[in-house]
Amino acid sequence: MVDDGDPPKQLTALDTEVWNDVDDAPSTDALFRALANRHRRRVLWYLVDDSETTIAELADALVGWEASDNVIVGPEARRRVYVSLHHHHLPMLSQADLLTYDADSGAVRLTTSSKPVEDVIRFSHRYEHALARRDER
Amino acid sequence: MTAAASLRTVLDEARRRRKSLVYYASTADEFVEQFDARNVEVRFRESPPLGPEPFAVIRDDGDDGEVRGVVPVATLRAFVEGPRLPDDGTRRLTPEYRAVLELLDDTVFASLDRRQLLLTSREFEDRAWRVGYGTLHVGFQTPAAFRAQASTYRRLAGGSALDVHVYLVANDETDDEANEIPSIPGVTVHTEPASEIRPYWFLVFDGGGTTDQQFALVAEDRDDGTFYGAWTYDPSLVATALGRLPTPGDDFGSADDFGSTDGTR
Repeated sequence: MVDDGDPPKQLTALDTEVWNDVDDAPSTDALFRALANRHRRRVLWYLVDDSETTIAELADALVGWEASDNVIVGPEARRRVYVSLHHHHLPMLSQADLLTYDADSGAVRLTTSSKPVEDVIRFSHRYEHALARRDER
Repeated sequence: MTAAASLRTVLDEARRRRKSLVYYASTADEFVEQFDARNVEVRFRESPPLGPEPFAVIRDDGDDGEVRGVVPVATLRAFVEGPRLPDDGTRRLTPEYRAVLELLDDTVFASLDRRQLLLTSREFEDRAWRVGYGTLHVGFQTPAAFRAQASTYRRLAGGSALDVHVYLVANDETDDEANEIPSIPGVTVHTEPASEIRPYWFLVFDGGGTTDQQFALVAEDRDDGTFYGAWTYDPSLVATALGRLPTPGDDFGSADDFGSTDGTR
């Protein structure tokens, strides 16, 4: 089993201390809208591990995922991913108060430090990973 | 400039074209050291666990350049660790190998081995064959190397309108048998001048008059069983490689050029 850093144990545990940690968390609808897209789940998961990055690196990572199933991903496909991050996904995640995106410098920074938010991001990534493995079997 | 000097110039020019390769994986391994290219800056970037399979992003002109492509590291590893010849005896290359040839042009490898060069040459021979016409120049180094590929070149020249020029250097210290040169219709063999091109394994194709099918593969023997080499599709580099090689209609007469043919045509 690959170590996932800090895997969620009991997301719904009635641990008052953890559930008070929602001061900078987005609204429920905004959070789950953010998580309703594969690219955005991957962006958030990447940022949970490394909270400061750039749009270029996020584009590399998303394309790298697609490359696993292909021999090669060319410049055009990467450009499309970059553009969809710039015009769509990053502004949406920024609106949801999950991250900041500086379109001039390309800097992307996770802004929420809420433990429940981090847990649900890790959970959704792990869930997707498990389903992908199921489908490979 | 001599033919050897122009081949060397191709490598020098290719080397000036800087690239960067960023290698993403959750744990580092020996790949960074294995990817031994002279004009590529290779860096490792850790990615979180449970992420994608290790992949590499290749850019032109260093880090801020345009992305050339993104490939699984497994694809590149198959090349750098030494590709396997197809088990079925065919000349077919894997799509992975073709991808590497597309992505890593103008990349100067410090130590290519014979197997890598043989497979790469196969792909380029096939490309010339598919075009079907034009001039293909091939440097074999020795008569023995040419003899080993004689059946391939019989098919290549016989099944197409390609004008094939082969360059090799006989070894004065061995007997006549070792220096025997196969006679193949459609293939002109050049044996003069000798020593200066001896270190070069090369394939240069003029594209049959169009630039989009041109290529040059140039590799310099390092005397330790490996080669310093690169391949390119850049018309200006191909022109440099072609510079001192005979063009159709030349009489091959000047002292600086390659000498006479052995009369196989």
